[in-house]
Amino acid sequence: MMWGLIERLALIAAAAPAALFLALGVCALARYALSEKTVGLMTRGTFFVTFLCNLTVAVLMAAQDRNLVVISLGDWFHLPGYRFTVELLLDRLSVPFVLFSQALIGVVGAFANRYVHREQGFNRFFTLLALFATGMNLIILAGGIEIAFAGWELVGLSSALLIAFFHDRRLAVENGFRALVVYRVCDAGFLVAAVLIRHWAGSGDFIHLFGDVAWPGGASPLAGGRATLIMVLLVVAVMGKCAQVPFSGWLPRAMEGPTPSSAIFYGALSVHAGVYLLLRFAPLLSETHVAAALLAAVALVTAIVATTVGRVQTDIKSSLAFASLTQVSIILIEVAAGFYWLAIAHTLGHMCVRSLQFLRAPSLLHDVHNVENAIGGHFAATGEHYRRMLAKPVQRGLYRFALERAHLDTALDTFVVGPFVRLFGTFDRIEQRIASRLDGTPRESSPRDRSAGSGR
Amino acid sequence: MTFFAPWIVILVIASLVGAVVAHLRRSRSRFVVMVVNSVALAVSTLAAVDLWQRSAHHDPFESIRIFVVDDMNAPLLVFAALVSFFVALVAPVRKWKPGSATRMLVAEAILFAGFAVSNEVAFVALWIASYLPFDRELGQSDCRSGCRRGFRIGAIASSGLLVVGLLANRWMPSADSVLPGSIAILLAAMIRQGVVPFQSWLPHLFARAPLPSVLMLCVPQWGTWAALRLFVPDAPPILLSILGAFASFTAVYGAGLALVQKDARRAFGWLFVSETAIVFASLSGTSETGLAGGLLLWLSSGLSLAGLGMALCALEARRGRLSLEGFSGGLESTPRLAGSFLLLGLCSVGFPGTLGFIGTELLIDGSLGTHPQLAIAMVIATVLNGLAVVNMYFRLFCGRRTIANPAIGLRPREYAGFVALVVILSILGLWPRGIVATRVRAAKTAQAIPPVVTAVEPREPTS
Repeated sequence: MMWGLIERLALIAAAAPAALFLALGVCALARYALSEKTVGLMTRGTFFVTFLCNLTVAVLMAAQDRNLVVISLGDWFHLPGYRFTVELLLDRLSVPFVLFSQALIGVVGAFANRYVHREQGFNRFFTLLALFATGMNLIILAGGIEIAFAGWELVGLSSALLIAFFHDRRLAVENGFRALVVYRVCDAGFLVAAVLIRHWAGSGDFIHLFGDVAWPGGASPLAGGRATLIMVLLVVAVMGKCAQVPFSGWLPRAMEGPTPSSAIFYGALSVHAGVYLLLRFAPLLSETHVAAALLAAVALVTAIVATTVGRVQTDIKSSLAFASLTQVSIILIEVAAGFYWLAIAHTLGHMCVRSLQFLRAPSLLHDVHNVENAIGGHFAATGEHYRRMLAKPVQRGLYRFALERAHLDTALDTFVVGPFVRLFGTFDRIEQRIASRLDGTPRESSPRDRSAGSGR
Repeated sequence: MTFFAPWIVILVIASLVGAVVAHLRRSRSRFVVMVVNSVALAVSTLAAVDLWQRSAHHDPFESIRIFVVDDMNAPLLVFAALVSFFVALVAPVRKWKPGSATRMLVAEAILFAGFAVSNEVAFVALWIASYLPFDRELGQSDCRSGCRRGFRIGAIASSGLLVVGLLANRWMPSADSVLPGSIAILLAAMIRQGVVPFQSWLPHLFARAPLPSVLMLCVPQWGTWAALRLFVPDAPPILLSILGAFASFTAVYGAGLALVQKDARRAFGWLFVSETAIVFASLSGTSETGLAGGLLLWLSSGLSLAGLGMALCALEARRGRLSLEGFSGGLESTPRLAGSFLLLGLCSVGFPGTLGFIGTELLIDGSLGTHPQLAIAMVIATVLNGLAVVNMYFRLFCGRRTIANPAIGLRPREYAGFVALVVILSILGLWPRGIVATRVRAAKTAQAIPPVVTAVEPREPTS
């Protein structure tokens, strides 16, 4: 197989973060402790090379007026009637996204080199960052839905583990698990959609699905109810990753992680991964009005909720998280309305601005105090005109609503988690009773019961 | 393709000789077990490679063959040898009772023979025999083994039903006998695999019995093997559908229960029930792709669950009984054990990049056309199992500040075992062509096995 310069550079850029993850992972497994300086150099070097390669690819594709480059890496495996090919897709959608995403990860990596300096999990942070970069590469460059799903899962896992980065804090761990629950539940939609696409269309490759034409052109062989079902399932997956209502509660909780990871996950990339997925499926989305309407409705509600809740947050990272959520929701509305190019521009701009805001957040308060000391007073309050527009009772109601974060977590706990735990708790008691009957022994107590019983 | 080779005889004899030596030299029992397991691993791998390289049917000992190596069991023999090797390598030797090594090797010999024996009567005898070393082990264990009665009830019921099923198929020369015989064999397999409504005894066993012994008994999946060999070829479609329905329900039920447990062992037990039910469900008349996916999951989830179980065992040896009610912390003291636990857990639930991902993908895709309810159950079970694994990881290793104590970290022997398993599962997940090809051939072989009753002339209707 003969590859040109574009293909070779794109492959280097795609493989570099995976190689970094592998190198850091193997060193960790082999108990070889790398110094902070070495890890920092490896990370910066990797993302610098990635950025240069991606930039060159973008320039070359623009100069040669090539809108679509498919890099086929052959079959991963195959069996009769089932062929799993590995392809990377470079087009007008993936190239800008991969260029910006890897550049931002590099910037955040450089920032984090100092931020997590002398933290116990220094190497763990960069290993997970490399895993995340690999996952993002897979989502963006995937030539088929299964590879995109693999990347989607890697992003979800790295996200949850980084939220729980400070693993000795109970709250961080609980919040990491909560984020993972939302991811996994919504990812089921993605998995089912991927399998259905392969089942109905015969292949999960985007070229097969949408034709050998430049994005966002192309027509899908799927139509009618099948197309709608697939897009609805993908919208469910996107709702989890983009923290749309009713799954928004995990996003502010995710701020428990280190600030650099908050910047890259919830300011920049992870929270926009859903936007990218829907843009990739634009040819199908444009034909399924039900899914587009559902997406627009959910995103509109989320935007209103997020902007309302964001106004009463008392810490800067939560405030930024809700601001980010508001913008992501607006971008999703743009996607649902078919303004794809606008959505791309909005996404790339928002990724950069929000990352900067997150990275600036730890030192901002210090700077604000300095400025206020210099000017001899507080900054003027903003948003007073909203307050004047609303009656006092409405203000109070909205304040309570916002303070409780729209009761979203409470609703999920009450109507989904609670019944699930109660149902399976009942099953568990029945199971233990049956097992005790079989053995003719008293029901087994939990370890804590016993230790409490023994007076310890 | 099948052939007789001395491989299986070598495997069985080596295990039995090892058992005798271990019985005589008790002071160095782990050494003996490891030597025998190394030989078993090498021989089973040679058998699989030998089979793979044969391009045509070649069986010079057709008339005398007792054991066969074919596409279905060749990778399973390697799998069984690998599981045995790993369990013996990692198991804390101070918890071994007198005779544990001997029983472990006898159990291995029975397992190898059970996977390779071609005669149904001999298979049933081996099935019954496979319970005996474990029952003896339970008899020597500490007070926590209050699960012996339940185990015996399950063992006797499943063995009795298997014998009844075999008798019905053999000595009732009527086409009508397919149904009662098949039902009996299916019930026997369901009991052994802990499929609803016969599930209660298995997690209880995981919670109370010595974990290495339970893993040796359950990970190879005797029930699934019996169903594949004795039930699937003869089974009427209605029974296959029943198998699929019950196994799918078990997969979801077990996954849900794994998520709400407050005891780590019970959570692992339910995780095991759910994962093995997914494999069992793949026998329910799915397409060739679905069956190949199920057979692939058999290997991947078996290996990773063995690893996960032993990680739990290693942690228990350091901390005592493990609760999931709160957060235990301790990642600083056992970072490599925590990493191994998480990686093996992710392998067991089919995380991308591992062998289980491919198996899950194939099984869901293959069952979508014929059994959509099975595909939906697989997705739900996969989601819940993934959450159960991460929940266990967080609660066992995170969420609490503890003082680092490097003295309780993994020993090199244990760590080497965990790393080897993770590397094997990852390499097979990234380069899966060979293993997928063997499973496709196995699926073809399984679907081509002639039903036992085809050899029986239907009885003439009496006037």
